[in-house]
Amino acid sequence: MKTQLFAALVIAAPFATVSAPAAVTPALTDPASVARQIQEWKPSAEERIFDTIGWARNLIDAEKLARASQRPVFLFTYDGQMAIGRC
Amino acid sequence: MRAGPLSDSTIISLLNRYFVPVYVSNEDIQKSGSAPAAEKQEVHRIFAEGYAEKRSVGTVHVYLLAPDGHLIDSMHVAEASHTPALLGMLQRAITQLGTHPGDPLTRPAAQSRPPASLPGSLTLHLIARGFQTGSWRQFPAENWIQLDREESSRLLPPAGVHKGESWNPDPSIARTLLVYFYPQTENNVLSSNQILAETLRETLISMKGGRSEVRLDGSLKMKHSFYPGREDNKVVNASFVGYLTTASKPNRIISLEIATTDAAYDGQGFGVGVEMVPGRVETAAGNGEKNLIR
Repeated sequence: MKTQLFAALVIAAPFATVSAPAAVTPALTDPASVARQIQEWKPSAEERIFDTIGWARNLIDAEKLARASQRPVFLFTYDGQMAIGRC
Repeated sequence: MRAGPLSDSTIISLLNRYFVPVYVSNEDIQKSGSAPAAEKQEVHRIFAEGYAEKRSVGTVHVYLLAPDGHLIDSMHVAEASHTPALLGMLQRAITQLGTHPGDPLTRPAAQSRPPASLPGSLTLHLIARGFQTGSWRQFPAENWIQLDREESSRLLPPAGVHKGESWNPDPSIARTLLVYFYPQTENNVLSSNQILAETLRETLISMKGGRSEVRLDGSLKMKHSFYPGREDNKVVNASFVGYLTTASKPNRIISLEIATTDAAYDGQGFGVGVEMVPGRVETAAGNGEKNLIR
């Protein structure tokens, strides 16, 4: 098993250099605490309520749906990327 | 708009029952943008119709089109972001057109989704949440980052490393991830982010049953202008930790999670979390949305 693991590790990271152990940061000292922190920062259901709108895929598709359904189009033009919150 | 009227239950109900809602980013419809030519032309046709009819026209606006595509109303975002103003605009259109209510024409779906996964790729979900309140901080930003097999291999432990030993991986992989470490701003041009200094150090903390657990420690100093194309010397300073688990046969990453322990942009605190997620399998429906009529 040791040999197999060693062989597997040999494949990786050709640019890396090995040296002494790194200092450990006091907070977030284990994988579970890092995972918990990420969960806390994720958008809440309330912050994703925008997803409950039945958005058309694009303007051309929206106009086709509007003609077929006799509904008006609501078009919002904006700067950034609203879907990922980068706006 | 997203945190205001587009999160209001009355507005959402009207949009779903009476309208065909759609949003278009100016980034996508500019000359070099990713939108199809037909969509770019259509937005400019609407702008032109608005100018001809002396309506309010601008790049950050709400436009209402009749079912035949003609512009019937428009509103600048400064006004439309007030829920009562937008509500009045929607109600006027419904009355004017005599629109009958119905179910949403497109099934509501998560608007932020992982990209379709490529063979051997690793998909990461990044969250950047500002700790202040108010404008630009109403909800977190997200990114989906794909690393191909070669890129992700740069994070794997090097040959011959023993438990407790540390190493510095190829700096290019740190830069690939860290360029996304900034809170919500109007500038999402990644190529304009200037990494002034970065560190990434990995430590092998356990090896058992063909699996290795690695701790990551790092830091970042990066210039990031709040607005695209406007130099303002604003800087991100961050330190972070993370853990990745690798498996052998084949040698690969099976989990990866990173979180900032301290991060600030222009003096304001924020946090970034990154986790490995399953890639999305592309379906015949395309992007996860499904039109309910055709």
